[in-house]
Amino acid sequence: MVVNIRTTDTPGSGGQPDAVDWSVLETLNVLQKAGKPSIRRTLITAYLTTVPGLLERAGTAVNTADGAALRSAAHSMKSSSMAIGAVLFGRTCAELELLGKSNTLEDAPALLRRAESELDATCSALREALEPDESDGVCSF
Amino acid sequence: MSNEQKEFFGKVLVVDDDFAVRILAHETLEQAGFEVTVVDNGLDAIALFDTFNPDIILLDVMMPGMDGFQTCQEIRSTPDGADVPILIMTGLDDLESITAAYRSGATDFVTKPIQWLVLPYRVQYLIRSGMAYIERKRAEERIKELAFFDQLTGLPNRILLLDRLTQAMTASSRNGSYGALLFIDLDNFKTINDTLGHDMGDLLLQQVAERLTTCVRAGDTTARLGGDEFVVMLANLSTDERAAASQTEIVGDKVIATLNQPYLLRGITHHNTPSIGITLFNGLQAEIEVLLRQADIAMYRSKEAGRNTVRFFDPEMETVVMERAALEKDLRKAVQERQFFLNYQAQIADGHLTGSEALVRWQHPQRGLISPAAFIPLAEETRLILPLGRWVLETACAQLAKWADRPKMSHLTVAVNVSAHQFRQADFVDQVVEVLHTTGANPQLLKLELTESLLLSNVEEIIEKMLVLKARGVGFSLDDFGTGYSSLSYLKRLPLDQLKIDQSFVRDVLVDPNDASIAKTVIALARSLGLGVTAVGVETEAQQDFLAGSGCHAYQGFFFSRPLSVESFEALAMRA
Repeated sequence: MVVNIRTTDTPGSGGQPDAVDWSVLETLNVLQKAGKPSIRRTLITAYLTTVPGLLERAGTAVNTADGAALRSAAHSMKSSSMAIGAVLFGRTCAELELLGKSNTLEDAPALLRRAESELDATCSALREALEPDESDGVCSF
Repeated sequence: MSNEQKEFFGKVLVVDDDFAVRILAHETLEQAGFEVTVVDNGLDAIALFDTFNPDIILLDVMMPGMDGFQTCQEIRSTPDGADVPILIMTGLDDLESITAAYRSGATDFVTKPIQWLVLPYRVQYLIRSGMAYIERKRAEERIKELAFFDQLTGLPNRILLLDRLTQAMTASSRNGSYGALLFIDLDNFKTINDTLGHDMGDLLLQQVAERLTTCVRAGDTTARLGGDEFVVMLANLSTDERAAASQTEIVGDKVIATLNQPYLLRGITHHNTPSIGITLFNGLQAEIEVLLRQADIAMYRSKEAGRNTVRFFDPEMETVVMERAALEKDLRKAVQERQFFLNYQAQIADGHLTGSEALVRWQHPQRGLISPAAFIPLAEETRLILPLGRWVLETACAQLAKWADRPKMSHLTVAVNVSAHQFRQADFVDQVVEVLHTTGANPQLLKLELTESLLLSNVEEIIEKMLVLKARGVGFSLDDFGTGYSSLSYLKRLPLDQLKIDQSFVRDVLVDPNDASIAKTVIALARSLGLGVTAVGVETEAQQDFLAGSGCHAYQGFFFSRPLSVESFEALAMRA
């Protein structure tokens, strides 16, 4: 298999820790076959279209004091984020999941605000990482 | 990884509600060479399991709806899901989940985040070991087959037969039922091998094996000992030796008839016959090897007797069976040739002749009169009771019609016994209606006598048939009330006119207090249900007095009249 090595830019290399650990997505370059739809693009697109909706659901759960719903939404966000390397946001989701599980929602609004800003950062970093010419097949899962 | 590595193969089902895991697992495993299907929930996974038939399942734990543990358990409980490797994907920090995963039947687990580059190796390892496990299981089954089954025919071999025989003997010693061994040897089998070749001989043995299995019940064993020797073991036969011998002989005859049918061996029609030796067993009285030898000896007697026949090891059983076979043959002929006639036994109520019971008699051309006790059970067993019963009904109705013209007889009823087999025929009602029509007999004077054994099954259907006939005027009595399984609840619902007190109670009514109280009870019961009651087998005045004192005023028995020929009964009626 011809490995289609893409030199990955590493956006967000400022003073604060990176929103995204790019090593995970770099692994995908090894898996990527030439001429096949880009796995990385598929994954990032799916992330960008799914996770913000989940965070909204988490917000509603906090407002309605629904611990179980918070736990479920936070779990999904955590899992997807960890899977693509959005570690910072992923950890915050893990904390939200715990609050939902124990149904202690006092600190949830503050944590939710932190999650919002972390997801913003994550999404902009991911959007930047999408190269404009990668317009080919976005798999639907 | 490169294309020439084809080390990854197999079908993978990925179950995860997280799109990222689904995309990554799909891409990673498919690129590696697996065939991958992904679903996002447990129910879909279970639904897909049968059609996709995966070699491994990757299963997330926390999913909305059915979680991973439940999904795992459900798949394990399906017939094909018991052995498929299931790899649970769970969070690293979650020891509880890992324990729960194994408990629910998972094969192994991986922690998230998943190392995608390593995953294909893990998956392949599990598929290979899963397949190896299934192969080992199959090999064990095959070894078992080799050890206990004959390779040519697939029948149990000698070892398994001996095991089943031991079990059957033990069961027999507990419940008293007889068992039987039929030793079956094909006649002139060697000639087939010598003239047509061993291949054809083998084909014949296979067809014989198939046919033999159709001759026995599910609980019986058909085995091949080797060569052209087969053994059929029958278990749970009658507890009566003679009856068990008859049952076995029926199977023996069936085997002979079945194996006498022509065989088609590679386009060539071939005929073959078996010689069969039978021995009975009861409990653990005889050694297994002794039983097999007895059956073998009996089989040689069959050969000596000219082959294609059955012989018993015990000469007495031989006699019993031969007598029965001869009687059955004669009975068949008797039904065809109508070697029967009817006697009529008077029924008396309050000192007046009210009618008679028609009783069938067999005039055997050589052996003379044969007792109904000797041939009715055989007629029931061989279903010859159907044509015989029909003949009795026709003859009795014709007689009724004749008597209708005689002033002193036109009011007399005739009771006809109807066997359970007969009554259960789908067209029984039509038969009766037709007979009444063709003979012109008055239905009001016909009484059908039923037995309790009829009430053992399908009572609703019986009631329905009775109601149809009753609407035409036909009466019913229950013949042997109290001797069998009568249930009072049925009794209440049956459209009966009369109960009969069985002669076994009447005989000792004066000496046995039990019989006396049974007779009284039947009389009281009949009265409370608004039914008539007739005592059967009244032989003395004292018996009559006792019954009259208890409230029974209708009788039948030698005290009044023995069963008479038509002429004698007519004379009796004229005198009355």
